[in-house]
Amino acid sequence: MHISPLTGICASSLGVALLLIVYAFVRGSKGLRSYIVTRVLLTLPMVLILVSVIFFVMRVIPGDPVTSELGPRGTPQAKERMREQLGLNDPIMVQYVKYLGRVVRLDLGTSLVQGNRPIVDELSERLPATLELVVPAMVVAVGFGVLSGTFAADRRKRPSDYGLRLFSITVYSMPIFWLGLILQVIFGVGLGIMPVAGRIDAIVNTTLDRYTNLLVVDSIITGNWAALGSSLHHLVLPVLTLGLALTGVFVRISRINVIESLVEDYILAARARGIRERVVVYRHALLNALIPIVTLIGLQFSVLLAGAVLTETTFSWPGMGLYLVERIGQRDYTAVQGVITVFAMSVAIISLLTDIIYAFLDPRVRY
Amino acid sequence: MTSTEQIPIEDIPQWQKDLDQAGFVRRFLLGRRWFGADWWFAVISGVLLIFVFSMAIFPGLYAPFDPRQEVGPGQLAPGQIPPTFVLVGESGGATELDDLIGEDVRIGIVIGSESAQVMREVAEQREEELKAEGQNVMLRPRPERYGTIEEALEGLSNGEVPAVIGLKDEIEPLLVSYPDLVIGEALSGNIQKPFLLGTNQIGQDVLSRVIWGTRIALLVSFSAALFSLFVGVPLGLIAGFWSGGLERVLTLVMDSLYSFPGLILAIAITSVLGPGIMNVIVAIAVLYVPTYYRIVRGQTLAVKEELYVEAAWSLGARPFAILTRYIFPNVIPSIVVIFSVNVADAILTEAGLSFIGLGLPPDTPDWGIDLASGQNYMRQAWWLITFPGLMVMFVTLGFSMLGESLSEILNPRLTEN
Amino acid sequence: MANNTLLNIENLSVEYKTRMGWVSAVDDVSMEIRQGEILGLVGESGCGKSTLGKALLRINPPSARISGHLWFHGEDLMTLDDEAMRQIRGQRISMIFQDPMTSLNPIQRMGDHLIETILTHEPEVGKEEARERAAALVDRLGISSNRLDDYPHQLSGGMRQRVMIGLALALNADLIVADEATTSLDVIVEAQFVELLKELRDEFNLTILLITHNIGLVAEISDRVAVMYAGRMAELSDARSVFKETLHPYTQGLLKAVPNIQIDDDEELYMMGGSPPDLVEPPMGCRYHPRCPKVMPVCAAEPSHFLESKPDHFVNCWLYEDIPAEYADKELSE
Repeated sequence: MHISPLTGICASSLGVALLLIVYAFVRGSKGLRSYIVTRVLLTLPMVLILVSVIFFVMRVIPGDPVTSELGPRGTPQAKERMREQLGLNDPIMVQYVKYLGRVVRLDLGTSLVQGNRPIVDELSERLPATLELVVPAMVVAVGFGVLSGTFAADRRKRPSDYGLRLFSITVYSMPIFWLGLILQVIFGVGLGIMPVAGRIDAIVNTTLDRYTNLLVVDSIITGNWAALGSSLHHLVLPVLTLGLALTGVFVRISRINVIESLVEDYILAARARGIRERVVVYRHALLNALIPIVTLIGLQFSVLLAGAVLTETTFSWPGMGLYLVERIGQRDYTAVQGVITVFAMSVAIISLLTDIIYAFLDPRVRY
Repeated sequence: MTSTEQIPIEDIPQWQKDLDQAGFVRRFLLGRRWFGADWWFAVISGVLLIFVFSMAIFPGLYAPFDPRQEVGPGQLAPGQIPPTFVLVGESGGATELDDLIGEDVRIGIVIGSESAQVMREVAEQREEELKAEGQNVMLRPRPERYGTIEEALEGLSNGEVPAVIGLKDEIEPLLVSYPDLVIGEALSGNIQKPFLLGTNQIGQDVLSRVIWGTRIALLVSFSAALFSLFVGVPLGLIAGFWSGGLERVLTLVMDSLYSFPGLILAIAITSVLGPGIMNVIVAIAVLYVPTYYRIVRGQTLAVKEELYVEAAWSLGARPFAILTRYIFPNVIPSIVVIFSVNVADAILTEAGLSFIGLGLPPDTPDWGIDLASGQNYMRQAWWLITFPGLMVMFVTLGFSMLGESLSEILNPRLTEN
Repeated sequence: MANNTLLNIENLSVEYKTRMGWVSAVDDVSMEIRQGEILGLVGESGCGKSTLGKALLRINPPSARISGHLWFHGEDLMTLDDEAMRQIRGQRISMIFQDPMTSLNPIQRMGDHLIETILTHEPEVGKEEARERAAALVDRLGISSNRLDDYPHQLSGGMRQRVMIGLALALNADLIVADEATTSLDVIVEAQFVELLKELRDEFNLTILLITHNIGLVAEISDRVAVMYAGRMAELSDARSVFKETLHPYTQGLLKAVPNIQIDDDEELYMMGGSPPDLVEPPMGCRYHPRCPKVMPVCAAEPSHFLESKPDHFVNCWLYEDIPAEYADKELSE
């Protein structure tokens, strides 16, 4: 049986999520357990709502996919043929149920362009590229953002605080694609030291055997160091762009939450016990603030995905975002619907995970 | 004996007396002492935004040109003066294009230069003008190509051609060697002022486009944020006030929408709705409804439990009165902050949508559209992507700085003791 | 001055910068805390008693400006740098806070609070030993040592307050500042707490500065009592003198305002007129004069001084001080 990389990645990430949930379930208290069960059950309606919203947005809103697909000049016969082919002649609720059934089986339909390939197959080539971009960007943003946010909170109302705040508002206010363009102009065009498009050099690419389609992983497991260097080189600017754009939000979130925990009584009490200031700020205050920060970071995941769409467009990065934009241009609306559905499902799973991590981190029973 | 009767007038703190007497302006100025740099953040962003607003309302006052008109040569760098082409003739001979009427007059130009194009354009224009005056003449000179400008001038002085068209800056120093040649009329570059921010690939003024772009950006983002405010706030108030089954479903829907990447939802909506400013506004407005809903509902839930609300209940106040008089005023500060942050976000989203090529008609003077078309000329013309992007950044910065400093000022949880 | 002084406070002033200006929360307070005593510090809310307690550890918020001297074992705490001061905190002077719920780190286990405190000040102690010491300590305080792995929210209010005491005792501090330590406890728990405090004082020879607005508590447990009003010291003496031979009009009013179970039905509870002054612009002269039933012309003009009017009985009032000549003959204008 052929297992596509998408199925593989979905299965493995679901597996990891499941392991985490099971771990929390086993280690956690009784209250945590029942919370996990309710939260998992709550995810199902959330996915259902998102998938339904996508379905109805794409179908019910005035504007007919067939007309937009064939253009106003499409002949009535061609339109009719297409409607039949897409099942658009069924009543809307029938279409809806059929669509839900397909989504459950991870069948997102077939593309309307390029040899009518299954969307799932196409996405399985694209999803790893997006992951390879998004994960390091998130690490950069969280690492830098949380630490400097804590630093700013500690220096509240001093110049370094205002400086960091100004920095965070400025990067937040930059259009992410513009940041990418500027980095391209400086490092790609001006200095000529960074590639501005693609994931890997074309020549090196031919030497790389692909298993996971995560180029960094593939080049490590096959020991292809040239490919590793090239793919890392291509990663620098996109990751920097996406990471920097998110950093602003994280500086802000961390700063506010650390400030809120710094005014708590237990901080004063810790100081009164002679605990070192560094420990007070980075252990007592930050760890307490991390609990809300984790949740907020979970919510930022959607900002990350939106940012990924723009970053991929700017850097011609062949991920899901670029796929979405390309297919909108080609009016391949099955593909558009499919890729958005995948986005929605990943958002739901991430939000489930952050909520459970939150509950697990916070020892206070208040589910 | 109540204690208030006994308070001598001296016991009322001086600052309170000051505040009671202070007008709005003084109160505002007093804020500088209370809030330090946050006050400055708010004031600076306020001034910036007033400027931006005036630009959005009267772009014509600021912009030197029509944003859609091709006013100069393409890809002119900022500050660069457009090149001037001149007609060179023998002294006593032709010094104006009008002197060269006919179908087979040959004018010397340098191969590969823009002189030929300039010659053709100006000639056509003049012919039209002459015809309009009632003279039925042909003004269609043909180019005589030379390898260099020196060769062309040599040819002119040899009498091979009656005139040469070339760049003024190149010709002037060479004329020393040709005493019998004179510079005639200038054929283009009537605009001797440089374009402050350069021109784009089709010769539109970047500055004017950037200024007119303010109007679109603010129109879209304000309408979208207002629209979602008018939907989200009442929904949040009602849901927080009357909990129940319907409220749970609504909350679930809003939470799901909130967790969904906004830009992607907007992409989906605009890709279905098709281009058009209203469609973009609707698509963006949908994104922020959950933001208002969540915050307002949360605060309503919290305020509902406050003692003074319970006191009002026990005094027999009607639900509507409690909602409007006790709960709504508590929510206003948050709404102000969210609104300003949302406008900032909406500007970014709108720019992102246009960058992808969704939303607005392609010739709209819009920052995102200009950035997308500028990306293709990134290697030759850095100014095409720099200035629209800076503009997005500044306007967004204005709104987010306002929101940030307001939340710092209004958030009681952050006040130090 | 007695030679068993543990901490000598000299001209201590604390000001806070607020939106309305500088607030003089503690103004020129001088007093001594003696080895082995329980000194009760009472006053209305906002009179600066908590600020005074925090100033002893120099843990006031950064917006505060502290001046004066704190003589402790021959050195002035005010001259120590931050690192030296940090080593004093918890080890030499420790503090018990008002609300045991919010004063314990919610995501730190009980034991870790104690172990962290011990290890911070005695890094040479092993982790195992620190844990054993923590267990022994909570055991003494009447908490089973297997609760060391509990989080604060899993303990009752009384237990949390005992842990707070444990934290203050962990390093045998010379002085314990108990800041409104019983305010958040219910009456029964409070009684147990007071009993425990007495026991511990005898057992460990503790010196305790008990900051509270609960006069009953002070009467029950304190050796000496200090009364503060509007940032200034009003009266200081042994508990019996303060309660039986009260000198300062403010203390007199305060004592009359304490509800008493034996109160007669027809005897109304005394209600002090006026309200505590605004400390941004405190009244001229004696800060109590606008509310004082025995006010004299001098009171509104010049501040009185904190003097020993009877043996070991200090009071800050013109009634017990020589009035300067220019005010002596004046009548109260009102």
